[in-house]
Amino acid sequence: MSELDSLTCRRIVMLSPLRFVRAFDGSLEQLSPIRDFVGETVRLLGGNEDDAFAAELATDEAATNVFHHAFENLRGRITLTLWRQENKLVIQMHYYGKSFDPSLIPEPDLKLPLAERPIGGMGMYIMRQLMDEVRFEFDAVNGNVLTMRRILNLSERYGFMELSVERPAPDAAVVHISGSVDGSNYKQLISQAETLHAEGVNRIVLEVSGCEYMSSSGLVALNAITKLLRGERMPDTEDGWAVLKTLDDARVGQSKAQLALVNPTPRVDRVLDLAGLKNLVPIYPDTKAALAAMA
Amino acid sequence: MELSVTKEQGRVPVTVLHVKGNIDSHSYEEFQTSAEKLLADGAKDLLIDLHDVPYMSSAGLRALNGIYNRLRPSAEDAHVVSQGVSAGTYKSPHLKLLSPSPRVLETLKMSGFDMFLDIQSNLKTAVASF
Repeated sequence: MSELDSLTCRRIVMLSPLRFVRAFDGSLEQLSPIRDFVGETVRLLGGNEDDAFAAELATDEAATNVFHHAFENLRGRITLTLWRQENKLVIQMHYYGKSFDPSLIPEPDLKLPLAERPIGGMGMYIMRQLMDEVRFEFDAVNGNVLTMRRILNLSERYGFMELSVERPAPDAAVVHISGSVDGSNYKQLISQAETLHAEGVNRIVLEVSGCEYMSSSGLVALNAITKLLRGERMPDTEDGWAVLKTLDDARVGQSKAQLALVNPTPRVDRVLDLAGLKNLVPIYPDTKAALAAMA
Repeated sequence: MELSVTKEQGRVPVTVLHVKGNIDSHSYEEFQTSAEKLLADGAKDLLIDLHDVPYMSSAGLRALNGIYNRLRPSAEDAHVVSQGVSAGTYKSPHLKLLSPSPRVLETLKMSGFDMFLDIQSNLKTAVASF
């Protein structure tokens, strides 16, 4: 990959993360649903169980502090937004409420006997232990934002994608994808499809049972391949996430699908569902069924 | 959260508080109040069974802190305790924990609570250790 390409990819990843957003009432009963939402999202974003636990605990501590101190017993609301930034998880909490100076929160002295410890500060300490970055921005007009970042425990296969191609018919191809499809390699998937298309292929089945993670860049690739097989102009991938919006959903169903997915993992399936791509790319349990449906 | 109490007899009578459910800032008061009531009713040695607690936030630490303060040694020992904690040689003789899950243990370790709360993994051994 040329230097320009790698820069472009990086920019797309930054421009187009798939964001998971949910708002919660500022009451302590919401802590359990907040943890469930955060844990589930972190797993979807490619984090492992340690990442999910760290994110749940740090968000719980942050929310508890906001409910107790920033809302001052008034009913507020928080909005949580989670996304992936290359190898990092980002958790953002937006709320209106009282500000404070985080630098004035003392680090707890863990060697002090319990009885002599000041109450408080432990929540912030835990957040800082679990996250690589904890940053507050206070704005009375637009709301306060807490941003936490954590480097995910990604497997050695992160950034690694393997493609293998079968040609069951002159106009059909099955591409087995394993590893992760993300900003570093999604263009490779698009060029593979372009090569096949040039060889006369107009039906492509992506067999993704071995695909552990698909970022929004992977979704951009699905969109681009769909357009390619329809004979439409390929989207400029520079536009990143925005290209997904250019899909004309009304056309789906009018013509037979020419791209299908087979056997996605639950994690990839959920990402497709949340991105609304299931209308665009049909999913089949096996390759045979997919090829038959597209024949 | 479900709480239940059993009594065990070792060298001394030991009260075991079994906790079931997550301990966060929504639920910790129920846990703390229940433990403090046991102490008010005369319990001198308390074992908290955390086997069925999948998750605990700093609110749980706050509750343990409160319970510990009720059971702490008399004023004349305070200096010795303080030195012992700093040296890593002191653990509370009257408040102990049983079988925390890996996640709860992580929270205890991260906050340094494992330095002076004895963490046991077997009920019989735990009771005998008081």
